[in-house]
Amino acid sequence: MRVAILALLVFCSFRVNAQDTCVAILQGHVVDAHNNEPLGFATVRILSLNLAVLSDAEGHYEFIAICNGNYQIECQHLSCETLFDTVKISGDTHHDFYPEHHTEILDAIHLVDHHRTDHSELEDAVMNEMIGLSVSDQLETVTGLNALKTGGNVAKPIINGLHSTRVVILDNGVKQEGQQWGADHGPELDPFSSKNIKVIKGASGVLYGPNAIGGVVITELGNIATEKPLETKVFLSGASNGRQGNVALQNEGSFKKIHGLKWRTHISNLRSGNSNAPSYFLDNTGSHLRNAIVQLSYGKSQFQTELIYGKLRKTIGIFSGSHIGNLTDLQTAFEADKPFAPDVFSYEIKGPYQEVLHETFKYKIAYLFKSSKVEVDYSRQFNKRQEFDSHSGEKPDIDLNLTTQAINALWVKPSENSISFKFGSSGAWQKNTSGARLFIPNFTKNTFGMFGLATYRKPFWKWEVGLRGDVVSQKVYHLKSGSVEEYHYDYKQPSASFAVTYKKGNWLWQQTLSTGWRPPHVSELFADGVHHGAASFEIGDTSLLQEIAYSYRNEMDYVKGSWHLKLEPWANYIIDYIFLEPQLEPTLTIRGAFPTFKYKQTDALLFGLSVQSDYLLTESLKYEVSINITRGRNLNLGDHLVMMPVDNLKQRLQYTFKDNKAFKDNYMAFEWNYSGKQWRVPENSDYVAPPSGYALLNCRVGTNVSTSRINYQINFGIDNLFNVAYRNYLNRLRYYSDDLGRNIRLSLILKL
Amino acid sequence: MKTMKTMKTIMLLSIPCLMLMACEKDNNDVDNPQANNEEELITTLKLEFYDLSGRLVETAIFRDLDGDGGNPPSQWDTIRLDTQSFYLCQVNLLNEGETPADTITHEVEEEGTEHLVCFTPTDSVVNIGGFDQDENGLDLGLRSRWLVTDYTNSFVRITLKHQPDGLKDGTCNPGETDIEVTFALEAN
Repeated sequence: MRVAILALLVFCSFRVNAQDTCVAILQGHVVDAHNNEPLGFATVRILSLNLAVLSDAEGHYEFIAICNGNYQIECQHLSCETLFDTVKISGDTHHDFYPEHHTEILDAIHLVDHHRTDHSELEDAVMNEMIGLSVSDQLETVTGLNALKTGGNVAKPIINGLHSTRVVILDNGVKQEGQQWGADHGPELDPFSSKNIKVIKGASGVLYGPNAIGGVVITELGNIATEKPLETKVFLSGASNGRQGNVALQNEGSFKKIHGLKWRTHISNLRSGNSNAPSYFLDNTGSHLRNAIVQLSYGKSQFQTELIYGKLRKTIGIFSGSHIGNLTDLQTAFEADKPFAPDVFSYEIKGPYQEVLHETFKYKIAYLFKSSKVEVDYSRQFNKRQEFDSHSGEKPDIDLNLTTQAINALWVKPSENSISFKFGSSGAWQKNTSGARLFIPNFTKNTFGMFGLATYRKPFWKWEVGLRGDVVSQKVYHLKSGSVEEYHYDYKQPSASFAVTYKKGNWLWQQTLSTGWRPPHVSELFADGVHHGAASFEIGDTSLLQEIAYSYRNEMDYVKGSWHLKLEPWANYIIDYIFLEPQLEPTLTIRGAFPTFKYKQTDALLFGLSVQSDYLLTESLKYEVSINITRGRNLNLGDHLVMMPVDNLKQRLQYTFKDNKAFKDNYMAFEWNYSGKQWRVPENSDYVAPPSGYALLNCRVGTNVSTSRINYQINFGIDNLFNVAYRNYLNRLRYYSDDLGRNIRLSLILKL
Repeated sequence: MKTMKTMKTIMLLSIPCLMLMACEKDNNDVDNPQANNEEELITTLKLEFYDLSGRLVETAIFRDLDGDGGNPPSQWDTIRLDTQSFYLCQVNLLNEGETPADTITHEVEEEGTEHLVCFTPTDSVVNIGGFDQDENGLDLGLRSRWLVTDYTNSFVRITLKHQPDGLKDGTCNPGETDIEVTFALEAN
């Protein structure tokens, strides 16, 4: 009581002394900029007064009896970047702080800005549900993303209608360079080796350079966090369809003798046999993936260095019922009730098949100066793609060797006066050769780019402006009737981006204007022949120009109680979009007449809308719904673009069971996915009509078992529960057979 | 202490260098492309018709010397036969891009269990049968017997199918088409 009176007296005297000008209360919340979670135990300090308070568990802080005026206020949190905000106090004032997660020193090269919402991150729960499936399949759970498939074992991500060379894949900070141009060439990714998978939708030329006109997929092994000498993670998963068995083992540890030196090894082996459609097996659709990664990191005070070496091999069987010689074969295969291929199960992979080797080496050094940070990395990638057809036997029909070396440098100046800067430059040297049939000509390609990005923050607001310039120089060696013709191409292109974010209370609103560009690929410049599997004759054009994309995104996020809504309208306007234009005259060959397509350029407009919403019906029952609509228009021809994702509707109902002693995060969910029929297709571009719409029901069950000694994550799932026979417009398999039937999957992640 | 530090530095620098040296190399010359393992090119389909006495009486040729695309076929004959006469038809596959011309017919014959020649006439007066057979007793079709029963001005489609790995079932449906040529047929 005495204390209280004393306090009151002190307070009153203060009030009197302050003569009514120093009575203001400054209060507000400290909130994680990334996920809106309140941050407790943050120190908020008024620098000029040297007054400090701690935020409580709800992130709330309060200063009383402050004089009016402008103050520099520091907000510090253990796991966040320190923020400095200038706050004007006049009377009782409310101010919220949005500190960023402290990005680990080595993470900055990815430049993933948590304040932006245009990157979607796959949640751990989703990754656990989809474990054992390809990264592209996992990404399909993100609204606005689809997978371009060739059968059940080749899938590549489509971001808002764009794919292949229009999407950049950044694996551990290395821009993946393979033969991405081919629709049946999946990315060289091991689904078990990515701790984080993120997606940036829309043109992202400023940060990621050429090709990022559709978006970016970011996969990361993650930093080695452990302080223990050894930590082991075992991944086991199996699936009924294809009788798939996968195993991965990840060890990591911290050396006792050399402080700061950490290591990690990762090995995976994924094996699958012939997959099956609801009523038959698909002959020769097995696959086998082997991957090994070594990661070493060393950090001492301001210095950090990291080494990653990885070698991935995959062997992929091509469905024998899809290997066709001409249009008659394709027509016959399409009209048949059942594919013309043996209906048996086998793990054997025979011709035709693909054999791919991808090797990555990366070395990075980062140094933290007093108020800035510098990073330099060097990477080397070697990609060998061999394709064997049923004629070629031991010798590959296609044998492409792509070597890429790259150096990136980055300078980051974190915010002090609410402005932060990033400057970077990157150079890459590439060589592509062929050891078999000259399917695409040999070439060398050198790229150099420089960029700068400035971010300005104010309470509730954030502005971001970026600029970049790139130069690409490409030499092509084209063998024609015995002699080598040399072509030289130079491209120069600026990129820019501008983003505004407003975030207050339950609202988040972000608008982004950005550009990106892509030089034509040699396959588009020099194609001249029958595209097997597509039964078309494709002719390149050596005079194609670069594509330039202008993209606009508008994102709105609203939370009210247990209801969450996210709206994402977007548009991507692409000048000189390269596409295959059907020709009137077929090409006559000894194998019959082939429909002929020429690479042409047009102005294209892609636009769409994603809607996502979830609602907690009761404490343990959650309903989620998402709608995705994508449109692609060929503006010069006034026609649709080919291979645009079908409108879809996804719903999910999840029941979470109560935690008990050993079982945590127990849930069961049902998903209902509906895809419509794609009737927006260009004329004369497809031989068979797009398949009709379909609905699939999936079931998911997950639990986490933890005892004092070990920790298991167990997931069980059934895809296509009712074994529905359907065909997917974005799967080339639709010409030859039904899509995959019911798949029962079980996975176990064990932490030792 | 200082040596320890030097040792550490050397280790930190040498590990990446050693790993980099062990990386896979591509030894092909980028500026000297080699066309290896090009597909076996069939430039010419030649049909020879013999009468019952074994005399060559008619030849019909489809010839496209520069392969797929490029120039159109340089020769594309019409088959001219008499009505009510039996003919023996021999299918010849040639690569005339090489000198002397490479006869690919032998390879098809050797791999007879993986190949099939199919004939699809558009007019029912054209009767084609009596095919030669592979080792498994299934039709091969390199040799066939033709009889045209009435006047006709129609077409015959000739297809060579590659049906490996047990795909061959005696029908023309499975497998991959190696050749598909439609000839005009006139019988008087």
